[in-house]
Amino acid sequence: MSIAESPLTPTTEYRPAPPFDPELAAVLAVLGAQMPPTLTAEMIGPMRSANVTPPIDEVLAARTVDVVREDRDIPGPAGAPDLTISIFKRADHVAGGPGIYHTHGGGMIIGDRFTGIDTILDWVEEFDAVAVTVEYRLAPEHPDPALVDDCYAGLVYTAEHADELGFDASRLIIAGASAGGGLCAGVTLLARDKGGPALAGQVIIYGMLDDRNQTVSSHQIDQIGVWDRGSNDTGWDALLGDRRKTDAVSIYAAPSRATDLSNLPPAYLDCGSSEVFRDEDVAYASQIWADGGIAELHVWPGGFHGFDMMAPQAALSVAMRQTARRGYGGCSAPDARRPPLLPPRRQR
Amino acid sequence: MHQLVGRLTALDPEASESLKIIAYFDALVDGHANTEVLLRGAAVLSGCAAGFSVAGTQRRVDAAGIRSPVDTAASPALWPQHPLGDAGYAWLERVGPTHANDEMILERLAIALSITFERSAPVVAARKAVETVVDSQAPRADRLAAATQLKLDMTADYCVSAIPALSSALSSALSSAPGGHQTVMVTRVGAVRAVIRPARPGTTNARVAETFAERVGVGFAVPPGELDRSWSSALLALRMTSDREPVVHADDLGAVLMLAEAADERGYDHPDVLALKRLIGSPGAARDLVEAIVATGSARAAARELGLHHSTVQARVAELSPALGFDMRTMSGQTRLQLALRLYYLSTNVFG
Repeated sequence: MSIAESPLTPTTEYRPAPPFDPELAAVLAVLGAQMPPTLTAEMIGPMRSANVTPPIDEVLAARTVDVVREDRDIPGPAGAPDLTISIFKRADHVAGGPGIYHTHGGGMIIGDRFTGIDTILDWVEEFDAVAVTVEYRLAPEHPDPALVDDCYAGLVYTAEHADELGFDASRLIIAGASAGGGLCAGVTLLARDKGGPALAGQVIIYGMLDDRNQTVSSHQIDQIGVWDRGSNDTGWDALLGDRRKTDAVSIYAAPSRATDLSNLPPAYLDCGSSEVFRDEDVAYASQIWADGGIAELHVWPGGFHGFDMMAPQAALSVAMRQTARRGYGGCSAPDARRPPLLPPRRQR
Repeated sequence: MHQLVGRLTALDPEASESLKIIAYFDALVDGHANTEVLLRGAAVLSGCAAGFSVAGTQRRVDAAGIRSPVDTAASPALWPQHPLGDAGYAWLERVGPTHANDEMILERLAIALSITFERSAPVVAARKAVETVVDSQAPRADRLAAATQLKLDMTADYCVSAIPALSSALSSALSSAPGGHQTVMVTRVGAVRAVIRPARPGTTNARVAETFAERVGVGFAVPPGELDRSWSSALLALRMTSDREPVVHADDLGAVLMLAEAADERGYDHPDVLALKRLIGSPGAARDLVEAIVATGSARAAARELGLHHSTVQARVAELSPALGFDMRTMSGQTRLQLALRLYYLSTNVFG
């Protein structure tokens, strides 16, 4: 047997990714045709100007429940510019319910504080929550730690102003999707290590957690699906530059690098089986469990990255939303030791 | 990332988006999506509720793609429709003027629904089960499950008949006959219909088929779990049929079947078969003579059958023997010719 055939030689061949759910594959056939599978650094500028996040006023007008928005400029991290936040609450809001601090997605390089806001607005309606979403600075103009520091500063402000904003400070959770999921996990680690603010939960939706891009799923999703391996390289390179894949990367930038995930608030994680982030998200939940923490993980079979937002009507997207609502809403928390992340809306 | 590509929403009411619609429904059909998913596609793309009604089944999803009851009070006559199946139709609940893409959405929806119905129809399921039950590559457990699905009696014997699929008389006979466990298999010698029937005489499709077919190979009688063996023998038997002997039973072939199996596994012909190909490769007097000699067992009987004088036949046989490489007038020559002719049929028969 030659060395090349030795069973000890690590394999560089990966099997194909799990197939996309048929309904999602059809959506990808239509929407994916509009974009190359890989986002490169040269495309960051055009992507920002071709912003496909719909105007927030249109989003609010299209909703059945009246939700009001307030924008504020708040102090940024020490020595950094001010930050803009938007606050959402029901027009008939009753103070004292849960708070949601939102870190938006966009690969660390694109998007704004309204990217993915529909999911958050669902919870504002459902649980009478107060949502705060932060306009953090983007890479590559602002490399790490600008992003996670901005997000942390916004969290501190939100927690300190709980009474004035109209929610119960002991019921503040943090939530984010994609890069926002990575920032959500990073900010949660920062809050733990800095001794505050206290969080009641973290919701990591297909979170971008690991700069190393070395999992099986990160190899399987290459030139296919949404946010493929190459796109992930583009995002992390922009955020970390030369530090990427070295020991100089902090756990707050790439939470997968944390070896101790104890003493964290309960985590709720969603991801698709057919996306780059599958394995790092599963591993993150596993590490929380290994460290004795609480995590609820859902891996949606055949889901590509962002499937629930691109195809909200698809059966898998409906299932993900319904499961999340149950998970946050407390139906799955029969026991007071594990309070719901988002308690049901109070009767008025 | 979703913000790179947006969200699937209703198409522009003014602009034609045929390619998107075709790509969407093609992908759903490729993925074997069910009827509800197909309807949801139509609803999401059109921005209004969609439904279908065919053969007593009605289904509808609302504009958000959620399954919901058909509103019997509504007046579907006003909605855009597309015919579906036998007297059925698919519709979009468009209020006001139709949009640019409504017609295309309905057309692709109807095509996709038809394909889905055909896939899930019982006759298709039965055809698949027949394919499995005769497939020697399928695990035994799968073959037994398929036999159960076909409601075969595990204690009884069945045999498979192999009948060339491209037989117009047969096709019309079979399509008018009820039920029947049969499917068309793609084989190295063409499209061949496999028909399963009880080994004991009965009134089945196979009888109909065997009556009308030009050629039939009948396999061994076996229990349901061994029908793959019956099919293999039936196919070999079919391949050894001739105009003179259009129906061959594997049971009647004796050890010739083993010989045929062995010959089939070799990629090349025996020299005796090659010699026959040269001598009787095209229809004519030489082929008639060789077949008559093998069928009757003697030159004298062959002469009678062919209406020739005995001495004429004797002279032709004397001419043919050197070309064959052996004397077909001896006992062993007779046997050798008989086997060579069987293998010649095996090697040359092609169906459709």
